[in-house]
Amino acid sequence: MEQTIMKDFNTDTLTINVGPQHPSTHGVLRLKMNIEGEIILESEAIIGYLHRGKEKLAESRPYFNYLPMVDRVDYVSSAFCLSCFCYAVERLAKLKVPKRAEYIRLILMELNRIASHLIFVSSFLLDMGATSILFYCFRDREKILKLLEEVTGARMMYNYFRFSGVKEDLPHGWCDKVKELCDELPKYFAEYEAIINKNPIVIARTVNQGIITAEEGINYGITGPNIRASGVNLDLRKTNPYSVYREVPFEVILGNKGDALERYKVRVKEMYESAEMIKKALELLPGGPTEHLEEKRNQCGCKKEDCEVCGFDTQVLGEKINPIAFKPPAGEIMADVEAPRGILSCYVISDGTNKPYRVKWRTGSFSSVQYLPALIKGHMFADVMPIFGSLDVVLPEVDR
Amino acid sequence: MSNDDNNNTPLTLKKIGLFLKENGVSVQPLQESANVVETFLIETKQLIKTCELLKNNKDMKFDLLVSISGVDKPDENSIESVYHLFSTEYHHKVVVKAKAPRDNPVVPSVTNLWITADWHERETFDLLGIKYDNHPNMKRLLMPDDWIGYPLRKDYIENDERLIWNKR
Repeated sequence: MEQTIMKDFNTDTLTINVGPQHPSTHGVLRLKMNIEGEIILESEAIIGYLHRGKEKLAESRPYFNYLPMVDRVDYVSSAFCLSCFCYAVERLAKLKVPKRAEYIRLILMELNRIASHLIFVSSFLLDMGATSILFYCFRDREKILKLLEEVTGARMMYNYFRFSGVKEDLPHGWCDKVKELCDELPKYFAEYEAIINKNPIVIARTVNQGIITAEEGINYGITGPNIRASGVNLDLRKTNPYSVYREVPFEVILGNKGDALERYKVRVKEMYESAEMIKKALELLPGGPTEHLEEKRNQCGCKKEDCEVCGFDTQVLGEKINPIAFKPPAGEIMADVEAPRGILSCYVISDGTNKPYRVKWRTGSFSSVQYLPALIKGHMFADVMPIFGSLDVVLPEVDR
Repeated sequence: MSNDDNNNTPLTLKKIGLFLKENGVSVQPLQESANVVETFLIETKQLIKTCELLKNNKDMKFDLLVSISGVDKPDENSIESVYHLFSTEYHHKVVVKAKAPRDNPVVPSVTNLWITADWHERETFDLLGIKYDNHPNMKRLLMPDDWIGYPLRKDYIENDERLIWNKR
């Protein structure tokens, strides 16, 4: 860490600079702090080091060519960015999505949510100096990523969702593997909880640190697990259901204290819930596993719209779209999804040409970083890492 | 580009629009293509009043400002500031738009109502050059402080001297 002492200061107040390249900033965030001894008097967050102009880039290329870039808005949970953009364009162009495709999206998104929360757990503990949990988390994340790679061909940047569906059907035997993994996962999560939850160092550094009250959190635009840890029942999957979340039962995890430890606990409980959701979604998947579906289709072959095996709802792509000639009608739409880091919104305006007129991304981390200076005010310098870590910020998502 | 090109039925105000009209805000309804979220254009000078009504009324309670986006419309010689609001209690949404002239876009700031507007407004200022009145700290957020021009404006490239090599 670079420390610069301003020489013309007569008091004990120091202005120090944290970042932009600092291991605990999860990317490239710069904090300018005034500290007195170890106490932070005030700080300013400076962002923009990872600004890639995602919104400007959208205006110069067709909708399909923008899809691979959407992945990179948030590289840790790219399935959510993709689905958000796809929902927006689908609603704009009034495309119908088959149920099977929606279920595949849901399964991928929830797997991605677990993978993303695993990154959170490992980096949160790593910020506090606990290195061993990183290996546990990455061991299990690897299993999820392998499954995701089997479907999408990529470990992190999936580029698998298409307008009105997904790229291709699930590979043979994939559903069984996922089910097996989802049965195992709770065991692993219990393992982390056994290591972390009663660890005296973790408790000492996180309990009553960085408390977000419900009212102030909402005022600052904090969403996702961060605000649910403060007891606000705000989960778009439940309150404004999109996709097929209406049909898959699950519970919204709520905390009450709103401190750093509570935010961690809410995320771990969400991982259990996601694993359950995936299992239920696999049972509800229209058509069932691919290998069975293909066999049944060969036997049936009726190709009727409402058939249980060849019908619309068992397809993976609703409409084949010409990528170059695809022109959604003029209009505008805002699609929101509940991403692991809060509400992820994509505002798309179309003017009837094959390129978007305007795309705007709203991400959860953006508000979290804005709130950070207010959260760490009056705390010790060493508390910055647990508090910032507990917000689960991904910086590329902030800068876009 | 207008929002009601494909729409033949006259636009009518629904619940939130009527509520605002009753309270003396001149509301012009706009059609959103999926027709789920009420969208309207209001007069820029009435923005603060509208937002106060929407936030503090007990039937509305739009306590979460989801985002502020700027939209550049050179055809109409205007820039829009678009507010997406959400209520954590009733789970309903609304979109409010305020227009400003393109050569000197000034829109009142809503930071007093939602603190989260601070960075959203700075970002919009940074990328589109909308100046928010009464904003506590109106400076660039994503781009470097010495950046010239507003990148998300439609005529950005033509106006930027540094990109003159583009025209070779």
